[in-house]
Amino acid sequence: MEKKVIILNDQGLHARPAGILVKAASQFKSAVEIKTDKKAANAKSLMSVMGLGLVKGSEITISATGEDEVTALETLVTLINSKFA
Amino acid sequence: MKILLRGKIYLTIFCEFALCLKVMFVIFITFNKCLFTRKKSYFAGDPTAGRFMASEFPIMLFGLPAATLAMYLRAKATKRKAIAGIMLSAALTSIITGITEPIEFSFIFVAPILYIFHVCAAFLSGFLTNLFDIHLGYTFSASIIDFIVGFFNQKNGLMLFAVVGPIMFALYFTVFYWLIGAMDIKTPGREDEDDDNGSEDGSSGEGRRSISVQPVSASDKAREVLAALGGAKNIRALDACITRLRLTVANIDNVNKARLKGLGAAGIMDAGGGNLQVIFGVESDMLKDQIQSLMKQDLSSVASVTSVGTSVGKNVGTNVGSITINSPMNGEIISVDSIPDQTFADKILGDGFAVIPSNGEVYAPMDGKIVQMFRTGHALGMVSKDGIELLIHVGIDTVKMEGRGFKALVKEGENVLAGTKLIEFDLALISKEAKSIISPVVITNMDVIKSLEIVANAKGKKVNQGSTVLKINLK
Repeated sequence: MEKKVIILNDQGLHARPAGILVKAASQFKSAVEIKTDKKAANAKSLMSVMGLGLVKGSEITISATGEDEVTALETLVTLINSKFA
Repeated sequence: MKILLRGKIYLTIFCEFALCLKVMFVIFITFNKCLFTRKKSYFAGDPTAGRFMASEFPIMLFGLPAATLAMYLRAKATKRKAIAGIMLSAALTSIITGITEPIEFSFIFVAPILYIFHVCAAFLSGFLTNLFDIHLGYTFSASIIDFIVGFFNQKNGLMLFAVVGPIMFALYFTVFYWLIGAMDIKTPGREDEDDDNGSEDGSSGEGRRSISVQPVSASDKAREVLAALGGAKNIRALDACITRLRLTVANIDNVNKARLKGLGAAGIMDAGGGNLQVIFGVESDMLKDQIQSLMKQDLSSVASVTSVGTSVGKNVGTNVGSITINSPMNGEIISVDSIPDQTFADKILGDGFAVIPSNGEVYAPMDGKIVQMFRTGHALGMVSKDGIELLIHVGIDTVKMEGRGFKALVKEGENVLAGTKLIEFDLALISKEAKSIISPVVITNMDVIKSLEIVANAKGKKVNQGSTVLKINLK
């Protein structure tokens, strides 16, 4: 399953928020991907997520596949919407 | 001393090589001329020939050898013996074969003014040989060999030895001896001790020499030279001749000249427009071949790491064993726990080390591919061929500076070698505006790492970029 979200925090997905996102994604068993219209990244790899170069306002699709995909997706979407606070 | 020692070895090899070449060449040419003379010339007995070529004999046989004598006498007493070896072989090379580069290279880079004199003196030599109507020709260069080969075709050759030669000898000797002293020109054997030895207090030259020679194998040296040249991506063209690497580089600022000298380059000529010559002596050609194969290897092996996408992070090489990561900056190495930022200190982004930089330059701490260069230039990510993903983050909270004070020198997707300059930053501005200048260097895919440690002689110490900091064992 997947869901579209928009990056809200001011500096986009720079090192720190990306790290938090990756850490959050890594605790789930499901495979988690972040997709833009151009690229896709493994949400459990920091370098991969940072490589998307997401800025404030970027629209992304988060997809999770696996036994805990519902919680995984929900957690990550909440995290992004809370600007990684 | 290191340079002197190498120089001496190179020159000796060079002289012998040149001599062999010369002898073969002379035999070939003479033979050729005897059998297939097509037009009248000096060697065919033309009495009008040999006027121009005669002008070079006083230089090769008298002038430049006199310069070597002056340089020898001006060398420091402790280095005289080594310099005598260099200068004598260089002088004999000039006299016997007419190959003058070993002498010229010993002064033109340290004192271009001597080269200007050398050019003017060549004019004077031509004037004098013409005045005394000396006719001498050569097949290759104005040497004793050529003098003998053309002995029966000469005119007024005696005047060369009796008048013009001694004049040139006296002129070169006086000018070199006087100028080197007056301007304190660092010709061989006059270099400042610190330049090549550091502060070692070895009591003899021999002792110091053994300390300063770096234990790098040939291909390591090629690797280091390549890194000092700014890495594969900085090299647009690479060639070599018998004494030097000839290069065209993308950005001359990425070339670390001091490092090149540390690696044994006797001179570096920046000809402008990215054209560069680095004088490594006769090993230049071998270095060129090694660097070329390194460039190919590195580009292909690093390129095999998939570009950023879902597979990065899984793409771990099969190499097992210890891998090292260098410091990307000059500065003090501290542990990750001391980073004044919770996310880094808690190792959420990964483990590694941090640097308190002492100047505003970031160099590649390992060979690899740049997979992420933040648009603000304050941080970058790279992946090594072993699959290690490294994040270098300059300062804390520097993302808020929106790129002010940062200059990225590489782009995403570029393959770089350790030592390539990646980012320049304004240390003063960042110290003032950012939360901290402490710069984390962390491995972001810790899942591939079995263990890592900061090596003992880096932890808490000031190091230079390129020093080994982290020792890693892969799973």
